[in-house]
Amino acid sequence: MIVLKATQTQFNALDGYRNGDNLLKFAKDGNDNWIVGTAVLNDSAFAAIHDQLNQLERITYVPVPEPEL
Amino acid sequence: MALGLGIGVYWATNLAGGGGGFDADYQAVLDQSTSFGYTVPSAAQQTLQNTLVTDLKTAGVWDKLDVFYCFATDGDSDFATLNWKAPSSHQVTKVSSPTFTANEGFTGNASSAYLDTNYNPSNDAINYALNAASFGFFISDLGTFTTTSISDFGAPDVVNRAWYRRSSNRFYINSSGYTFVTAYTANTFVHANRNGSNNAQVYHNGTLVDSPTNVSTGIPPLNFNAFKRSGIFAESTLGVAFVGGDLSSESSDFHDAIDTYLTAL
Repeated sequence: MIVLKATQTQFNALDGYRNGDNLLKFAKDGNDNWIVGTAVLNDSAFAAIHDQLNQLERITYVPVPEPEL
Repeated sequence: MALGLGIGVYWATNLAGGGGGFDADYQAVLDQSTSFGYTVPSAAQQTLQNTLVTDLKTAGVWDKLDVFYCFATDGDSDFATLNWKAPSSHQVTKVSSPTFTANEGFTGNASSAYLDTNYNPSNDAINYALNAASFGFFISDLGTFTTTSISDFGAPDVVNRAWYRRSSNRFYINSSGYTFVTAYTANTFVHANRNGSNNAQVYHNGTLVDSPTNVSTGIPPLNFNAFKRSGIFAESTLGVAFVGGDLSSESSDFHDAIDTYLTAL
């Protein structure tokens, strides 16, 4: 699965972007990268930031280790 | 003439409640959608959804709900975020673009997408209580992502949890400890319930499948969400979700109302 990876600077600029009932939030992958799914690129709710989202690096998703209970 | 007037008055005051001949609470959902500029469901589906609301009322479910979401709709994805129980509060936030499919609902992406109900039972509960609580969902697809830590819908990221942990089948409802229960499969209306400090129930499609002796320890102090537990994200598809008070006596009728609606789509 391909996801979008943000640098810390990109994360700071984009994380928390809101448009109505839509919110952009990055998650951590198994390598501690900030990532978000590629569906945000086709979501009209995020049209205003598509140019910035398209600059994110495409990487293969690394699953998060099982959390402690 | 007199008969016609009488029927008209009866309809207006006892049946309709709203401007479109619908139950007043369902009309409020449509009105909220219109005020926000959302796309409401087709006329045929509005009738089905109105029937769903009246069925839930007849079953005694409606008054015991705190939030109710009907994701399976041919309205748009924004309409699907409305809380039918109180359309002006606890609207779902679509976080990082979960996929919306008409008449099916929302699907997670196994990496970052989820639904935040903005309903925190510690602060927002009306019927949900420590020893009288329920939450649940209709799940049509489990997705392909597998781990033992999946949450399809719940409040799992705290000590006192509301979580029907998929794969490992650990069950929590207002509890820090878990009890093993029966796994659910796709196309199941899952209803987790508590009606006592040591009495919980698990219903699948309105049928009691487990009665775990799960001790209550506290109400989760965070929002219910779909598809997210800590950094683990589900890829399942949900058509309905709810949180409320004790619904152990209404579970079968609750399922029947949901099933009638979903089957008609």
